[in-house]
Amino acid sequence: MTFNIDKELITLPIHQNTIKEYNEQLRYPPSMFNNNYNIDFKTQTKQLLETYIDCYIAGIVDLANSTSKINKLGGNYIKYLHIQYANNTVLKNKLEQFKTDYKNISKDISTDNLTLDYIVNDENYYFSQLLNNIVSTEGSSTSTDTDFNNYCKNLNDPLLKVFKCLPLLLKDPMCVLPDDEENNINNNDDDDVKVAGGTIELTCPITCRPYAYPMISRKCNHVFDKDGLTNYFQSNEDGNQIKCPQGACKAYLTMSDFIKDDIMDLRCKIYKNISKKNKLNKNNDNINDVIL
Amino acid sequence: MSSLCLQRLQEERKKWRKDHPFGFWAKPTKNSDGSLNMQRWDAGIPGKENTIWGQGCFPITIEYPNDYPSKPPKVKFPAGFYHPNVYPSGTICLSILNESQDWRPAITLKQIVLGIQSLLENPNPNSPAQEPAWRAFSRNIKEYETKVLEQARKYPK
Ligand SMILES: [Zn+2]
Repeated sequence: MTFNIDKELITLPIHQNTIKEYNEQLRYPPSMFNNNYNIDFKTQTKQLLETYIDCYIAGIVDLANSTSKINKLGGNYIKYLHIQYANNTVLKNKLEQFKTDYKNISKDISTDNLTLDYIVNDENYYFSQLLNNIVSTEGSSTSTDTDFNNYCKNLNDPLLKVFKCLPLLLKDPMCVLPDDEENNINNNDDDDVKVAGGTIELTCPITCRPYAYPMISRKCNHVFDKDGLTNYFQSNEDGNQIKCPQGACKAYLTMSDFIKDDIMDLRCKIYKNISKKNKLNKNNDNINDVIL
Repeated sequence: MSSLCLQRLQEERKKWRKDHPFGFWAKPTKNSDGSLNMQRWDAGIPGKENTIWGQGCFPITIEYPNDYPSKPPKVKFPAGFYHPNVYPSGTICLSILNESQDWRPAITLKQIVLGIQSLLENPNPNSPAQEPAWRAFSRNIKEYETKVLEQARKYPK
């Protein structure tokens, strides 16, 4: 598997060390016994993506007409997850192999003898042989692409979701995402909650204003602004779970059921950006009209 | 009044002016000095066409508490209003207006007035709120209809 080293990264207003470290990680992907890179990789990817988005908002980078930058970054991230997943399945297979091998030789060993001392001073070299087998063999990953896709779905990784959604949101920040539909089918308490006429509302149902800090309920996927939620939960003196603020939703919630909704935040940022641009264009048209 | 209450009511007013269901009206009342009282609104609910309520547009008052939208507004018809689910004081007994029942902060003015319109022709048999309309509705439907038609003439569209 090869990664895409993005030369344009250098043009981003971000510390050059971060870019250097990121590219370094692409050159040396995680190995079977050293997976602890991935935390850094994830942080770096997130930082780079955020910088791209900030630059887009500031008008420095035109993401809407060139999603290839996002795709490169996202592609690398998915490849990274894939390597990590493949390594894990290989390790899992090896562990299974070890268990089977152990069962075969354990007939010779009574469990009473199975102390750490025994293993370390193992006269018959059973364990060293087994361990040798495990470490020295290549190992095989029996996982398919479907397995990996299912793994990604269960992973529920917010960054992965952002990569998937961003190209769609750049085109239409109010669009209904395929995942939203899935959520609605899974908990069909109220169909018109998030989706109104095929578009997503970018205003909070409590404050009725554009989101400032959107938060999503992990139990029912309803989204509200932080201010509105704080107010709602403060009105409940005893601190017990109370009904979701959305009409007819059956979930009982506390503030701790909510996390920041990155996707809604993106929608609002992109929407603002597009309306700003439209306004500018209109003004320019008007100026042209006057000149003509 | 909390800042959220006032902010939300201003947004409700904007939304209502932009778009509201046909035949309905709603607006904040005015204080004696001419300024707007955002926490007290007057509104009108038209009866649905082709029902015994169809000839009238019925006045309500909406009072928003300081902790709105965490708590629901209090909605009233004029005292003595004839309907099985309206208390003698005029207070409307409707689950979406009840904090311990179905009220949620996300419920809008539009949903409230549509809910009340639907209650007019579909009284809820599980929550009687006054004796006369309730008795007539369950025992003497002719008398009930006559009274409703009479009342509708009092509040013409
Ligand atoms: Zn909910």
